[in-house]
Amino acid sequence: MTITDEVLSAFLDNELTAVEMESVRAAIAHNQALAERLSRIASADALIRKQAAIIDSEPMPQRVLSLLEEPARLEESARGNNVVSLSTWRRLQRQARTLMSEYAMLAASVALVAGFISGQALNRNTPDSSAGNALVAALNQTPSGQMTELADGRAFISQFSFRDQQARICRQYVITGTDHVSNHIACRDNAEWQVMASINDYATDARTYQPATRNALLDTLLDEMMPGQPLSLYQERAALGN
Amino acid sequence: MKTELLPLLPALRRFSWTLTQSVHDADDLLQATVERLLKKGVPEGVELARWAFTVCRNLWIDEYRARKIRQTTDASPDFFEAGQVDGERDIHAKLQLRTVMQAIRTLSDDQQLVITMVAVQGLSYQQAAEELQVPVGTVMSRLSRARTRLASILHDHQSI
Repeated sequence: MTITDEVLSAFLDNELTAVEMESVRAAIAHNQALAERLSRIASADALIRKQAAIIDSEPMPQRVLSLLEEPARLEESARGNNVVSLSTWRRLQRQARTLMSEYAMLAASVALVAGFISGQALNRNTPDSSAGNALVAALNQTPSGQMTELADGRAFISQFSFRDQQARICRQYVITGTDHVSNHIACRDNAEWQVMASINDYATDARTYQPATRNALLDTLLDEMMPGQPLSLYQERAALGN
Repeated sequence: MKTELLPLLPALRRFSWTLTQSVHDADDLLQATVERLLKKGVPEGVELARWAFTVCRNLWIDEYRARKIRQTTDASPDFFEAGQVDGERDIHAKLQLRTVMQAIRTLSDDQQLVITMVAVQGLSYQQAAEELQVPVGTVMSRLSRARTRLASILHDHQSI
């Protein structure tokens, strides 16, 4: 396969076949010039995305907001008490993390879903087990902040939902087992949930593990994925279609 | 629909801004998109989140794309106004902002649209092809040309 710029561009987006992806990967590993060509395309792409994010620093224009706010909602958003402020939430997480270090957290393994780095949701986690179905049901129905038990006895709690760059609904959630806790982000594309990132933590004693823990890696992922604020419970319910 | 639209705004706004390369035009386009959605609704069986981008894109093609020609290359947005960042970072950031803006403006409309849909909105090639009603190969080649062009402009600028 001749590795043209078009092939490299498709490689960047994980849009080649698995065999082609592997072939390009192998070629890049042995060819500095090829690696540099990819790097140039990738950094141009990254700059486009960085540029897109610049507008976030400008407040949303009132003329647009006022098209969407209804009297009851205006009061709600003015109070703001059912929207978790992200900065507050992150501060609380840092505090929780400090507390957590006092408990023996033996191993933390991170599995980033392949292709996340290029911004694509690729690893289609479509479980057909009853445990999988219970998870999908929890994602679709259980509001944030509420714990629910999955079919296999593990506990599920989602702490917040948000819209990603594609405006898909995404949820952060924690799964707790007897000796194992994991933290995930999943997004729903056309009624199908796809796991975007998973962080697995193994504690010596899961009873002492505080479920509300994230680490810096998840923070970084959220910075990439989440252009706005988390959804309010009301918005979340509407977005999930409940 | 109003409640569901509100959280879509940040992503739609980034999309609008990337297409128009002007804060004022981006917000105009965003407003027009929201107004159109509220007025016409969503077709049966189509997800609002996807349809919102389709409406935005079509409005850009019909009404806002032409404004690109009338913009002067000296027009720079009023980001990084007083109080935001320190002097040196401010200058560097402004320079990079203008460089990228100018680079984007050299793209053809087709190229700009495809790179915005894939790199900013995050569509797959298949999804972009369906939206634009072109073959996947066309998406691939437009995207590649857009990226190669941007890379050479931005790379050349950095090496000066």
